[in-house]
Amino acid sequence: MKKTSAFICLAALGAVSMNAAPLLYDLGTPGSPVRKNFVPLDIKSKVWSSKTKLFVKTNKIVRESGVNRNSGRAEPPLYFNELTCDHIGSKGGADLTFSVPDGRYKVWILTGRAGGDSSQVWDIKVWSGPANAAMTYAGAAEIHAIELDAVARKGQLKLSVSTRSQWIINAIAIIPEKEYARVKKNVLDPEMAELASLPPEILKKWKKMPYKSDIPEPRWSAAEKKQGFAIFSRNWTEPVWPEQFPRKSEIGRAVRAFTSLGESEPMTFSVYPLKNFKRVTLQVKPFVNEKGAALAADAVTARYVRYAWVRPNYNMTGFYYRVPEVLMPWSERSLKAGEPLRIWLSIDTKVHTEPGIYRSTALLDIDGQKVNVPLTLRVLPFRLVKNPHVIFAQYYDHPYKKAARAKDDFSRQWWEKRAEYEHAHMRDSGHEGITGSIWFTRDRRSGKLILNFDAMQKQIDLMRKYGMGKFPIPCGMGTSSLYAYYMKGALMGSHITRVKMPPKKFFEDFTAITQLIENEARRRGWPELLYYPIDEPSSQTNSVEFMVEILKAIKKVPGVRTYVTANPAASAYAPMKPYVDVWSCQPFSIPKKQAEADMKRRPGLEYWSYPNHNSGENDHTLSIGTRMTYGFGLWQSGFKVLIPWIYSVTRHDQWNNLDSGTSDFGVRTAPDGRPIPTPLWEAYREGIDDGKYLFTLESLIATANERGFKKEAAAAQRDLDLIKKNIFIQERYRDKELWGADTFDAYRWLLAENIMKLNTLLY
Amino acid sequence: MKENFAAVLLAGAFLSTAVFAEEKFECQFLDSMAVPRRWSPAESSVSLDDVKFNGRPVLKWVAPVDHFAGEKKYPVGWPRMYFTDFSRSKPVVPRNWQDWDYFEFDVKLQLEGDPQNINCPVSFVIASSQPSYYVSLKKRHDGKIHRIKIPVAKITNPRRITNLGFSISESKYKHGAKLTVQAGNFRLLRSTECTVEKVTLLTPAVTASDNAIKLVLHVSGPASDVARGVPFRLSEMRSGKILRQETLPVQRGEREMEIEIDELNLRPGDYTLTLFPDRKEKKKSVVFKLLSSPYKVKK
Repeated sequence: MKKTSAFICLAALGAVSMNAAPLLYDLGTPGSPVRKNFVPLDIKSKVWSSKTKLFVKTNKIVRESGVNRNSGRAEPPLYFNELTCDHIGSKGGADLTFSVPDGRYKVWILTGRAGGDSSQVWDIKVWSGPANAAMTYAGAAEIHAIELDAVARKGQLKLSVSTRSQWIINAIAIIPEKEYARVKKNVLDPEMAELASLPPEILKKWKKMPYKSDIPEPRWSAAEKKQGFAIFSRNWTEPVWPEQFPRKSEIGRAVRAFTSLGESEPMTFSVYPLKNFKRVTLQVKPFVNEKGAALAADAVTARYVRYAWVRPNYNMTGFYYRVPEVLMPWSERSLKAGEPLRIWLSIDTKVHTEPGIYRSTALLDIDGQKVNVPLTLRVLPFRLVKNPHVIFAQYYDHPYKKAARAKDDFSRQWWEKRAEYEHAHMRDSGHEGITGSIWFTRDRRSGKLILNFDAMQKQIDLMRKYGMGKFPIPCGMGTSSLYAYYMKGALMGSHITRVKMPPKKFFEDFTAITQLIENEARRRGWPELLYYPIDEPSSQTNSVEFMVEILKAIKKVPGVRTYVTANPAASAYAPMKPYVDVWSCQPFSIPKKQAEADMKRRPGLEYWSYPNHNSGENDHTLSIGTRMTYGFGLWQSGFKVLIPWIYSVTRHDQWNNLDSGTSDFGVRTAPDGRPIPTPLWEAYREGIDDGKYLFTLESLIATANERGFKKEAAAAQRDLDLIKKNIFIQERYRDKELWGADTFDAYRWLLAENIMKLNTLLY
Repeated sequence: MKENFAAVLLAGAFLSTAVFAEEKFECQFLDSMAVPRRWSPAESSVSLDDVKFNGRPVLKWVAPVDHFAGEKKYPVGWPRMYFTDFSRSKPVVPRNWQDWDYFEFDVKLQLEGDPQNINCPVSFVIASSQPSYYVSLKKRHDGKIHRIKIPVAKITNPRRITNLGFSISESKYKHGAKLTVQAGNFRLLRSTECTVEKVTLLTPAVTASDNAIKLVLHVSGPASDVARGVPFRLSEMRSGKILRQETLPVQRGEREMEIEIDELNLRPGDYTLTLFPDRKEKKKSVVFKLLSSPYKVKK
């Protein structure tokens, strides 16, 4: 109360203000800290009338990090401030009545950062007359502001709150319409900016490292200066950084793409604003070909690229910078001078689309200035074939785990629906599998084995529903729990660095449990399980010795295969080699010839890669390297499976990459549980498509040779060999020593031309 | 210590500039880098070796791999040694490498007790501003002398080198292994005239819809000579017909650049881009393929 500033409410707790002034309430318990510029509003206030019981919760404001007992790493707390440390909520509806002068208002409501249960899905809808705003979000940390229009009549402004699960409110601002822009800019936006990064006292210890672009400012044309912006087009694999100028050659560059039947293609262009603009709207006209035929109405998905603060490395703290990170569903935008807005269209063609050149226009309205951006899509007359011998999969934190813990039906169904959306998304992007796990332990007192097959069954049922049922599943095991049982509660440490050799009984039990799992898997007709006892064992002698013994214990079960995440090229792991069936490592560390020879020599042996350098674990912007890894790079690697960690990882708030000991990355989630992709995800998909172009042509060359078209087959093979020769083979493809972005498309076009020639010849 | 002292004296004598006319390189030897007391080894040891590389003094760094000893918190650690001279107020090795094109040294690696280690990864780092520049010395443990040539253009801030050194991660080695690194013949080099050291074509294939080809040029030589630019010629590969001939403005170091081709209305085919086309000893060529436009459908 003491900190209440002059310009905020005069009408707290139902008192009437004669002049319309902004009212800013910090909701919570009486006596809890109150945010500067806000006044307290507690559960006993007269503004409330609720049929269901309201609840209030307070979280401690802590700045000191704790320590993860297993890894020994520092773990920051969930950061609260005076505004977010407490909230009022309910499982039912509630009405609020504020005494204010009559007039038009904007209502701003802060909801989230509840603390506690990460499986809870929060749902809030606020009405004021016919106007409403809603938000749904999951977990303990996410926080959102929702806004709605409201009208006060007879000295009262009424709000009604409803929910499908539970709602919470941290703060409410009721602002006269005319005051809204000023209050938003001076108070509300800075509050949201702080909540999207770190508390100021923590952030000041971090160093900002802005991206340094070497693109000079172009000479703006008179028209660009007059209109205050320029439209430019850059290949989608190259990021458009905040505060980066367009290249001269990119301004006015045609926006176009080509696609096979049934493929999805990105098409992007950007607006570089020379001054601020309040409102940008976008409308994409239908794509129509020369004969007047149009692509399906749902063929175009419009998104924009969201900039976000990130750190340079997954678990590094102390440094941060801003990157283009997530492909948000399109909504009206504002423009800030010098910060480009990238618009990202995904164009999906159906398999029966008529080939030809399709044209469309993206209509931009920038504060009333109308801009037409021509779009061209060439639809090619063939379908792509995927190489059945390579597989794309994902490490996956299954939403079913949260669904099982959810305390209300809405939350449970939200997690289940989210899992469905994510499986469909993976399937539609060319992914064929996910990881799984069967957790087990023994009861400390009785020694009884605790093991749950039904959770895995449910996951496999869902995989099968989305066509992922053939993938051999790397199956995590309850090794650490069983180890703790036999070693009196001891921890194995991060990457089993602290592991000590357990008694023989532990390994005998491990064999018996593996046999039990395998019997059940076969009885239930599951896909093959790859037994995956430890993730990323260290190369320390104690770790390797333990790994040898546990792999031996698994291999005592006839016919099963083991899965190890370690680099087969590292000599320290040599003792494990006889017992490892699937090596999964980050780089393509085994040369193609050796990988193929090894796999031929020992049936069952496979080399997989989890290319985390491309997943966003560290750098969120390496689209070009990711495309290379997934397409041309994999083609020349000899590896069989790409399975990066991880589809999506949320630590605290999915929209705040700085607020936890490790960064969020990967696909994000919309309020309805649908996935929100990233440019890196699109690079996976496009790389997979590059691989399909390669395999389609290889298959046609084989057929042409079989049918005696030797000369034509040889000509196509020469082009394939040219591409092969020009690849800068690397163990890890990032953003160096790679083709320019346009060459990926040029080579794809070279493949397409050959595919069309051979198709004409053969069919 | 006596040996080290002697080496310091020698180093002073060799901190000189020599010009090798035939290679068109000017060279400054940095023998004072081969003085053991100027290095700070950790979990390892350094001494002056008996051997010489090219008549120049050689450091011998020995890193025994011990997964149980070393720093208490990280028993599987990082044996390392860094050159401490840059932290002195008047270092004997210049901090500013901006006017040089290359930092070079010779290195010989020997690994004992870990015969299956095919990589033998060793890092050499040069620190200036963030990020530091790392050079991998892996797969060089064949007992032969390897020349390490580091383009100064790769270093973030070559005007102020703050540190350099060798390190290994013990986790990449078997416990009980021993790595010996011999390094010497440290020197800075610069070209005496504008030279294209390397040209990398980033767009070995483009379509007729693309308006430029992209390449990375690594240019060395005195700034005044570089400022005159590099003559280039674009020609049809099969016929040799010259399509464009002019001077490309360049800068010292490594730069990505675009050459616009849209005004040439090139036909699909193979084309050669040649730099210094009339200087046989300096000539460098790359070939790119121009494909038809995907957006022009043949009727």
